Amino acid sequence: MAEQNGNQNGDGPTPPPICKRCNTNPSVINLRSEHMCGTCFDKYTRSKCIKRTETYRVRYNPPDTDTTPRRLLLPLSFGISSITLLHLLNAQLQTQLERTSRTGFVLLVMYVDESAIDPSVPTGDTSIRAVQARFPDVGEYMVAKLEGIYEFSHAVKSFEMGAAATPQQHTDWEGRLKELIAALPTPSSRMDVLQILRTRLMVELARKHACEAVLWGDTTTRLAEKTLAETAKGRGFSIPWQTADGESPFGVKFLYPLRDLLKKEVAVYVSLDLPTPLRPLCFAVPQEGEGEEGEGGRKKYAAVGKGITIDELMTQYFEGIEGQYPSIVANVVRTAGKLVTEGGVVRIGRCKICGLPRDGGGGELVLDAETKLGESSNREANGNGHGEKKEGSDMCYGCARSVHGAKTYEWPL
Amino acid sequence: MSPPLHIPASKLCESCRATRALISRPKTNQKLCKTCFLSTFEAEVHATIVSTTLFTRGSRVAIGASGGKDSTVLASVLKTLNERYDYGVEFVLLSIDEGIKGYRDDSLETVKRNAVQYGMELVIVSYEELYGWSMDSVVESIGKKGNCTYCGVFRRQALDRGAERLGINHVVTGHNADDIAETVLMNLLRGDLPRLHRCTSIITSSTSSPIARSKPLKYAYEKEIVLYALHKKLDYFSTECIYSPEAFRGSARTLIKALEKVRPSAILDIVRSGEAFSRMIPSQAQASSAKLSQESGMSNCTRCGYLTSQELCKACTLLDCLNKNRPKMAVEVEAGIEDEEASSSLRRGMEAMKLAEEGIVN
Ligand SMILES: [Zn+2]
Ligand SMILES: [Zn+2]
Ligand SMILES: [Zn+2]
Ligand SMILES: [Zn+2]
Repeated sequence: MAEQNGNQNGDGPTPPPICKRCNTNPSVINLRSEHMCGTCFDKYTRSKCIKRTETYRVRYNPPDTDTTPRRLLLPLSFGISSITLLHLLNAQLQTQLERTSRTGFVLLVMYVDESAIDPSVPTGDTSIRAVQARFPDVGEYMVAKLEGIYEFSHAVKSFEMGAAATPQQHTDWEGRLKELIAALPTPSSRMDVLQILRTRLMVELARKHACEAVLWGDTTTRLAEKTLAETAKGRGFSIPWQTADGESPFGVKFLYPLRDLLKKEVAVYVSLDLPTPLRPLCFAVPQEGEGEEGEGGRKKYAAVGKGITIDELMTQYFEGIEGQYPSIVANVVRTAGKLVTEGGVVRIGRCKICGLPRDGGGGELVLDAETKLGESSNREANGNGHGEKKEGSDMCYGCARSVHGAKTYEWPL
Repeated sequence: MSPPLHIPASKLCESCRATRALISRPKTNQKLCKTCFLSTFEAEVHATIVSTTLFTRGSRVAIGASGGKDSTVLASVLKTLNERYDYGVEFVLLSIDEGIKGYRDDSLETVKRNAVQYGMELVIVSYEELYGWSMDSVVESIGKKGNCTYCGVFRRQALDRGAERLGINHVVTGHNADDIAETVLMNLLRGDLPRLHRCTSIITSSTSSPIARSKPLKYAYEKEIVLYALHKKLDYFSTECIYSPEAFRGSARTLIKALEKVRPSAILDIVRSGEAFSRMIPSQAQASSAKLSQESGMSNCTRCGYLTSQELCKACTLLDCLNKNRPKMAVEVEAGIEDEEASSSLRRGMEAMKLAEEGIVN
């Protein structure tokens, strides 16, 4: 956090410059070349979030017919972003209560316990209690287990790669999840599929608990990372569905209220005295460490096995870009925001894995160059006796890539 | 077919199962023998050409030949495929002499040998004859900084003029999958929707140029192009342009290479995403503002006759600067450059962003 004091000239001992907004307090951050004090930066941050959640102001009757507060799901990872988002929404609720004695929304704060795939991860009970103690009035708090995704297998659609082996019919969800993750070929695939499982679990939980929207904690930086990472995974077609505010193809709204804040700004924000810093609540980030982690420790959990993943690579890339060229980060997100999905949601079938409307299908261009380009007939020769040629036909291109070469597995949804 | 006993099954070519595998394909990690690698590479280029009906029988097509690995491999593969599949196309080599001593003069010698090796006609168009300026003299006048802008504008027009001279309206270039993937990422980073819209098209015919450009190697990995040249023992020139040293390899290139290491298919996957993007850009955002102003219509440059949306074409504008020695103009012209040459335009892109970031230009 070299920029915490906003002192870009590196002249350490000189006092920090004065805030350009109030002209009174010392600056704590050089915000896109404007010095700001803690109070002004707090105001700035709050306004950015309010602007993006305007739909959830208090409703009146008339003109609104239904004035009950809307239920919103907030996935909490204990990273700096989701904790900041929770704090900002809490502040918004306080303001609504003070002004109208009513609120426009109520939160369901949800932590996903991933200890099934990484035993070193805390189950979240104590952490969530600490957060609840700080923000007791926002709504409900819950912990869901990642393997809970199996609760939502609509009908029984066990899905197998290759007909040779039948997966053992685990009754325990934890074992099935472990088996699924272990079947994936690379760290990139595992991280990718885990991210998909988290998203789909949140969607299912939002539906189950009658939430009309999921409020994701992604910052501008995180959205830019996601845009490039999904591009690199061949999922360019789905970027609007993964980064845009509004109706998602899952029938639940997605909102990214921190989309106008850079990750490095949020990193400064959690250390502000507001009056108490948020930082101690960010349990997924090493305390007092290099806590650059945006959506909470995700990469740590997901990097099972060795080797950097595509998502991690993008995180690193944008750490560099964010420091030198913050406007490029915003550029990427703005560009992604201008893309429109082809033919909308109803065009073709859904991808079995990510649940999004499929693009042309996995094998169309090059599932691997053997499939379409160049040689096409060395399947048998590859030793996998069971006909793989259908691989990917019910998936989008990106998911087909991610599970290409996976061992037999069972998909939960 | 049972494999020869002296080669363990694990060492056999995964395609023919008859010969020892020598090459691990960068694109797929497939282990292949030399013959199978070469034929797979060729078959993929052929598949690209056929699926996009890139060529028509009886046409003449110019290969933009620099003597470097990409265009040399392109010429060699096109010759092979033309004969093997009877495309009925007449390929001609078209080279630009930028006038860079110790670089272009040497690489042109390579192209001249290629012309003999492949039995293709060769036409060389020089900046000197077209513009009265060689790049050496441009650099002497304005210095090394920004000279790639001049070179890019000049090259595009020179290729067009060379093609015109040959009576050809289709130029193929050696852009490979890495170049295209890099362009996709750069256009995302720059937020350049018009370029994002067209950078993955196999063939681009632009209103600002009468000549169509295409990229038959758009799915070919740079690493495989090098392997192909190596195993085919192709005669190519491998020195980087002395005015655009290795440093220009921007961060997007580095990122592509890192991604390729993590997942070899990533380069193709980015191209795939880029192809999706081109269909996801609303039509009003597809044209650049420079192109919108062309609703008044493209006309001919009042000085040289080249197609332009302005009174003077970009080359003539730059020449004015050179002749008056006012190099500062270059920055203003930059914004409208239509040149698709990955390396130089991308580098300018990064330079422009850097300048914008530093508050030097808007
Ligand atoms: Zn202030
Ligand atoms: Zn999918
Ligand atoms: Zn072979
Ligand atoms: Zn002109």
